[in-house]
Amino acid sequence: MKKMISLTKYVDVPNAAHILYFFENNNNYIENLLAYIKDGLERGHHLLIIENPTIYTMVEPLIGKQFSNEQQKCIHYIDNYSFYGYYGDFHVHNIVENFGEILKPFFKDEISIRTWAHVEWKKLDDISSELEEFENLADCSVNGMGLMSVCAYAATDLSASLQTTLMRSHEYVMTDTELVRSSLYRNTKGLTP
Amino acid sequence: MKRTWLIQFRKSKNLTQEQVATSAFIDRGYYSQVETGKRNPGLNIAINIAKVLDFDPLMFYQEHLDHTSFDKVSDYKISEYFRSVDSGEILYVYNSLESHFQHVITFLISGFEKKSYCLIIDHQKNCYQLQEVLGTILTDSEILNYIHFFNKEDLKGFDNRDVVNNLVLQNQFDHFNSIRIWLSEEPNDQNDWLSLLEKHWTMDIKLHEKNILFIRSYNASLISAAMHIKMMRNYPHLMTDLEIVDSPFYKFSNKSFIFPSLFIQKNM
Repeated sequence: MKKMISLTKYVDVPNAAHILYFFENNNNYIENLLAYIKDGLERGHHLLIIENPTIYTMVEPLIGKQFSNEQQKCIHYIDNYSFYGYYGDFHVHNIVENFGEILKPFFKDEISIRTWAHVEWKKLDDISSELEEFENLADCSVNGMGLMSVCAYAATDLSASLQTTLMRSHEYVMTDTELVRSSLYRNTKGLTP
Repeated sequence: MKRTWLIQFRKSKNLTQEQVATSAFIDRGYYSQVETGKRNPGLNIAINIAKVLDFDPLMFYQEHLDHTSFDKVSDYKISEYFRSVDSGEILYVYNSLESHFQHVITFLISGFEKKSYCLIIDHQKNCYQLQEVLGTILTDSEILNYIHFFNKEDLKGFDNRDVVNNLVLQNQFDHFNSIRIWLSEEPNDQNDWLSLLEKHWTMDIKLHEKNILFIRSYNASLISAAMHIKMMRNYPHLMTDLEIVDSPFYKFSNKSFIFPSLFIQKNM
């Protein structure tokens, strides 16, 4: 039986949970990010936040206000523009490899960590196939490493086509106000009439 | 083109052409021409052959469309679904036009098998293409009696409400216990076709007793994820080119749990 852990006080998820977040409202997005950080810290986990500088500048003062200095040491920030190669190409294998490298020291020291990644890329590029490959690899990594991970995408910038693809590689889907299990995950839950 | 898949089905059952033909109530010469691809069987013959060899008769019609990349296994699930249900509301976001076309054909053929009346609301060129393929499967009178095509271009400039009241509802549905409607690429709001039709039919007790299967389809690359989520909240079932599943965001479902997002849970 899969080991379950609490995502929030109401929801238990398996230890490795890959959550896909489609956001529309920036305020709700920040609120959800802060709630995720708070839940993680309350369970003694470290947080890796891969976020763009504009949003993180808005989040930082709120982190300072809500969490103690000791807790803040457990929050690690990475600029998502450089992480995803925003100004260059979206190199799937490099990104996943880099992700593994960043997490290595935490695993080495047996530190539990949760990740939050705001995925962004150059808007002019059609990177749907790269994203699909990236998320499939990421899902394997997340499951392999026993990670709790949120991948956030701006819902108005993404096509329904890409969304459907992503829903196959994430077990949970979140919006600004809802959290559900993806019925397309691994394509295993076909409907029987 | 030779139907090697059909020959393989027959050989896997250790049957001769004569035996299959006799069981399917046709003569051997005719059956042989079906195998060699010289003849296309009509629907009843296709069903009979499929029964003898134990496969989905829609396989005969999939080949018309020459879809090299089409996933027949998954399609079988969708065709099974269309053949099993009489009512429901499905949101279909498609990636492949060919798959979309294939699924409309499956929807219509399975509707005909179930003696449902089918309405297709689409662009003229799509309606023509559908009619062309259907013409190889059904007779003209079967198409006329069971399927009605609405050309969306003809209806431009009319209010949706008027079109539903004056055109769609004038159709003779009385003889049919079930009705199927496929609507392509229409804006989704309170005054769109399907919403207006649903309002009419749920208010009309007589028609309410009928089973209605609705499908609304969209090209997945032309709508945003945000719009898709909004629509998933209103449709119990979600369809892709490969499968039909429960819509995870459907508000009134008793099958899936919709939890509040993280910050809302925190504030509870």
